[in-house]
Amino acid sequence: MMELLPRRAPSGEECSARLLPVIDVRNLQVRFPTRDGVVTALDGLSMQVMPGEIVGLVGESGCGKSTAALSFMRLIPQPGRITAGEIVLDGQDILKLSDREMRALRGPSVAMIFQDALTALDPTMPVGKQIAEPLQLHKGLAAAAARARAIELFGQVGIPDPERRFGQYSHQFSGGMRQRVMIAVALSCGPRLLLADEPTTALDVTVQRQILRLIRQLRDTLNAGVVFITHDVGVVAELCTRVIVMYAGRAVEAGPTQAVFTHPTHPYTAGLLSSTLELTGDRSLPLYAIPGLPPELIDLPAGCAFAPRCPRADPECWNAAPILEPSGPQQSVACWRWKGD
Amino acid sequence: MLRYLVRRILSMIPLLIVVTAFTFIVGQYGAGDLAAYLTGTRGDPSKGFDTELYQQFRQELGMDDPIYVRYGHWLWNALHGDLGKSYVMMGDPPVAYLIKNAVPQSLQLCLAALFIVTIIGVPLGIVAAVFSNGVLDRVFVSGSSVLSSIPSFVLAPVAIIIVVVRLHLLPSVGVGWHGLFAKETILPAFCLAMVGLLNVVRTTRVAILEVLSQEYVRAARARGLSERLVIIKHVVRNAALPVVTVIGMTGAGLLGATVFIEQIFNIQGFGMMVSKGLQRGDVMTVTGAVLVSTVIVMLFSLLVDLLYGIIDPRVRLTR
Amino acid sequence: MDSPSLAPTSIIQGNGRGGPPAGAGVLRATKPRSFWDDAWYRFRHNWAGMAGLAIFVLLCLVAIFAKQIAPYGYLDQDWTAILKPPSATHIMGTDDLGRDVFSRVLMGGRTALMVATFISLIGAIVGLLVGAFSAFAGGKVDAVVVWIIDGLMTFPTIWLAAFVSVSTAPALKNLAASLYSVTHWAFLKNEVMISYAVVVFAIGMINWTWPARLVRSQVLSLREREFIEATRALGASVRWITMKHLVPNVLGSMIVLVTLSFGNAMLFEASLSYLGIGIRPPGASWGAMIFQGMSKVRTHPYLVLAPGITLAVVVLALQFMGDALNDALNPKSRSK
Repeated sequence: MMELLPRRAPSGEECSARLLPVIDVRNLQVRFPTRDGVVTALDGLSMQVMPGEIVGLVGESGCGKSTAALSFMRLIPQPGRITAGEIVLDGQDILKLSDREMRALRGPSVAMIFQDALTALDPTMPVGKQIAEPLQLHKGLAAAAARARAIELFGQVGIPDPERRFGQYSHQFSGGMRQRVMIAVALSCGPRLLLADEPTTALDVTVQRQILRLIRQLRDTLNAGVVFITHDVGVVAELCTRVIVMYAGRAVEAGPTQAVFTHPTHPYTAGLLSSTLELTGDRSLPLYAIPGLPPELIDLPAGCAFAPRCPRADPECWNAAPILEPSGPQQSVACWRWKGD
Repeated sequence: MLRYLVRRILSMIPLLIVVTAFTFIVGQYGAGDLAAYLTGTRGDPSKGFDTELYQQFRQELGMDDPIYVRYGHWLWNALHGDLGKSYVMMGDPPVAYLIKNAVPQSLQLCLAALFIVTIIGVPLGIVAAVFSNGVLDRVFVSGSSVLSSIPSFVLAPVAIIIVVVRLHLLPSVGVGWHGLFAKETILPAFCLAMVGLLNVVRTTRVAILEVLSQEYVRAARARGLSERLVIIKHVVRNAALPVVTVIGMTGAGLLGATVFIEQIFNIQGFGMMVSKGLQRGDVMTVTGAVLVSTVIVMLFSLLVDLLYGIIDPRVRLTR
Repeated sequence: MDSPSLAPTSIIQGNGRGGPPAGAGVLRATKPRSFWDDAWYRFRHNWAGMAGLAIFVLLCLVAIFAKQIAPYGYLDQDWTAILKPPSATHIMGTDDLGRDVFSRVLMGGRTALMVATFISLIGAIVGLLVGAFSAFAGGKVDAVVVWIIDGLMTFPTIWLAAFVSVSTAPALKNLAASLYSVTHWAFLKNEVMISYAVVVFAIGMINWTWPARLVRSQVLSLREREFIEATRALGASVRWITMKHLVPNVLGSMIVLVTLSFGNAMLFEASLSYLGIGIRPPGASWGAMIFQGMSKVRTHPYLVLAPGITLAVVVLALQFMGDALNDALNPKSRSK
C-alpha cells in the first residue's frame, strides 16, 4: 500500500488547527422527490475543511459526492432540496442566506472546478471573458482591468501565449489547456474553498499529473481549502491530506489519508483499496472486485446500506444503520463490525 | 466562410431547376390547350373555331416544340428577366412586370410580420422555458397554440371586426398598401405574424430548456452570476441557433400565408397575384411566381446561414 | 417476460433540471410498467390532450351522424329566412340562400374529416414506403430522396398544393369521364366527388414529407443500433424485439405525426376551398363557407364565425392531442 503514497503533501494541519475551518458541514441531508419515491442522495454528512487542506471525497459514481459539492454552493438541481443540517462557509451559515447573498459568495468564497471543461465552458463566449466575468461582477473591476487580470491568471495556470489565448473559444483548446482555463475561472476571485469535481477524470494520464501539481501549487499560494472529489484512490493517496469515503449518500470512513489507506477499518474502504490495480501487485492473484451493485437510493432499508455486499455482515447489520464512531486517533468509521469478530 | 457561401449558392441551383421544371411542365399540361383558349377568346366568334389563328397561336407560343425545349426557352428568358406574358389578363402584361410591382409590398409585409413574431415569440419562449411547467409556461404555450391554430382567413376578419369595426382602434382598412410604417399595415402584419407564433415560441422554449440543462450554465451560476445575467450572457446566445433557423423557415411560411392576408386586406401584393392567378388558371403568372418565391425562400435560408456564422464561433471558425 | 435482465423498467435519470444530477444514481421504478401503460398514464394526466381527444371523438360522431343530427338538409333553401342571425330555430343563423348554417357546419365537418382521413392515410403510407425505401437503398438514391424532401419542405406548401390542385383538376376530370364511359358509375360524373379527389391528391402529394423523413431516420438509427443485435444474441425472439424495440420507436412518433398532420390536412382543405380551388359547391366545406361569408362579414359576422371557430377549435384540439401524445410516447422529449 505504501507505494501509493510517494510523499505526503506538506499540510498546514499543525498550524491551521488554531484557525477556523473554511467549511463546516453538519449532518447534511439532501433529498430529491420523484414520482417513484424520495431519493435521499446525501444522509447525515458532516465534514470540515481547514485552510490549506486538501480533503478527498471518494466513492463509486452515484454515492453522492457531486451532490455534496453542489450543495456547498447551494446549486443542487431541481427538484433537489437540503432537508436537514447546516453548512457554515467561511463563518456564514449559507442555508440562512438570501439568494443574492449566496451569489456574492460564489466566486470569492467558494469556487468549483468541473469535471469536463468542454461542457463547462460556454462555447459561444471567448474563454477570457468567462474569466473576466466574475472579476467584473465581484471585484468591481472595469473591463480593461479585468482583462489584464485574466491574462495574468492565464499565465499563473500555465497557459502559454495568454494575450492571444484570451480571445479564443473553448473548442480551440486542448483538453489539458481547457482544464487550466477552468481552473483559472475558479481562481479568479481567490476563493477560500475550492471544490474540484473529478477535475482529472476526462484527461490523459500525463496531463492529469500536471493538473494535480497545479492544484497543489495553487492551494499553497492561496492557502485555500480544497475538496477533491474523485473515484481514483491513487489520486487521493497522492494529493489529499484527509479522506472521506462515501457510500450510498453516507460517509462510511474518514481520517488522515495515510491512516485510512494503510489501516482501512470499513470493509467498503478495504474493498475499494483492493480493487485498485497496483503496478507492483502480485499478478498471479485474481483481480478483486466488490460483489454486487450500489443500492437504489429510494427507500433505503433500515440497516447498513453496504450490508448486502459486505463480506463481514451479520444479522445485526440489517437492523440499524451504523453512525460514525472513532476507530483510531483521528480516524472514524460507520460500521458495526469494524473491530472484527 | 466565403467559399462555403459560394458552395451553398451553387448547391441551390439544381433545386431551383427541379422546382421550376416541375411547375412549368405540370402547368403546361394541366392547364389545357392555351392556344385553343386564345383562339376561342380572341378570334372572331362568327367564324367558328379559326384553325388558322389556332396554328398561329401555337407557333407564337412555341407549342409544337418538345416540352424540354420549351422549358429551356422559358428558363433562358427568365434569366434575362422575361417570364413570359399573362394571356389571361387584359393587354397581355409581362409576368415580370406584374411580379416587380407586387413583390415589394409582400416582402415588406412579411418582414414586418417576421419582426412582430420575433419580438413577441422569442421573449414568450424564454419566459416559458425559465418557468417551465409553471403557470406562465402553460398560458404562453397554449395561448400561442390558439393564435396559430386559427387560420389566417378566420383570424383576419375577426381582427377587423374587433379592432376596426367595434373598437375603432385603427383606421378602416381595405384600400390597399400604404407603406411599411403606415397604421394600415399593423393589422395585416399582426395577423400574418400569428401564423408562425407557435413555432417560434415552442422552438425558443425547447432551445432554452436544452441550454439551461448544460454544464456551462451551472458553471456560470457557480461564478455567482444572477439568473438574469446567466440567461442574458450565456443562455440566449447558445439557444439562438435553432431559433434563427425557425424564424428563417417561418419567413417562407408567412410568404405562403400572404395569399389569404392580402386578399382580405386588399393589398395588391404577391399573394394576391398568386391567388388570382390560381383562380383564373393563369399558368404563366403562377409559374413565374413559383420561381420568384423559391428564390426568395432560398435567400432567406442563406441569410440564416450567414447569421449562424455570426452567432456561433464554432461555425464561423470551422467553415 | 422472456428474459428478466431485459425487463423494461422505466428509468428516470436526472437531466440537469428535471431530476437528481447525473451520478446521483439510476433509480428504478418500484414496479415495472409497460411502455404503453406508462404512455397512457402520462396522456391521461394531460388535461389539454384529454380535452383534444374528447373534441376529436365528438367531431367523428358528429361527422358520422351528420344527417341524423342536422335539423335541416344542408342544401335546403328557405326563402323566408334569408340572412337571419342565430335564433332558436336556426342556432347558427341562415346564409344568403336561406340555408341553415348549423346543418352546413355539420356537413362541413363530415367533408373535413373524410378528406383529412384520406390525406393522412396517403401521407402515412407514402411516407412509410418512401422513407423505408430510401433508408434501405442508401447511397445516391437516399441522397436524392432526401434532397427532394428538403426541397419540398422549403417551399410554401399551400402554394404548391393550390398549384397542383389547379393544374391537375382538368386531367382528373378527363380521367373520371373516360372511366365513366367504361363503367357508368354515377359518382364519376359527380363534380363534388371529383373535387374531393383533387383536394386529396393535391394535399397528399406534399403531405408525405414529414412521415417519410421520420421513418427514414428511425430505420437508419435502428439499423445502426447494436442493442438489436445484442438482444438477438441473448436469444430474444424476433417477435419480442419487434414488440419491445421497433414498435415503440417507430409507432410512437408515427402516431404523433399522423395526429398533427391530420389537423394540418383539415387546414389545407379549408384553405384550398377558401381560395375557391378546393371542394366545389354545393359540397359543404368550412373553408368555402368562410369565403362566402366574407363579403358580408361586417353585417353578418356569424357567417364567418360559425365555420371559422369550429375549424379553429378542431385544429387546436388535434394540436393539443398531438402534443400530449408526443409527451406521452416520447418521454425523452418531455417538458420540451
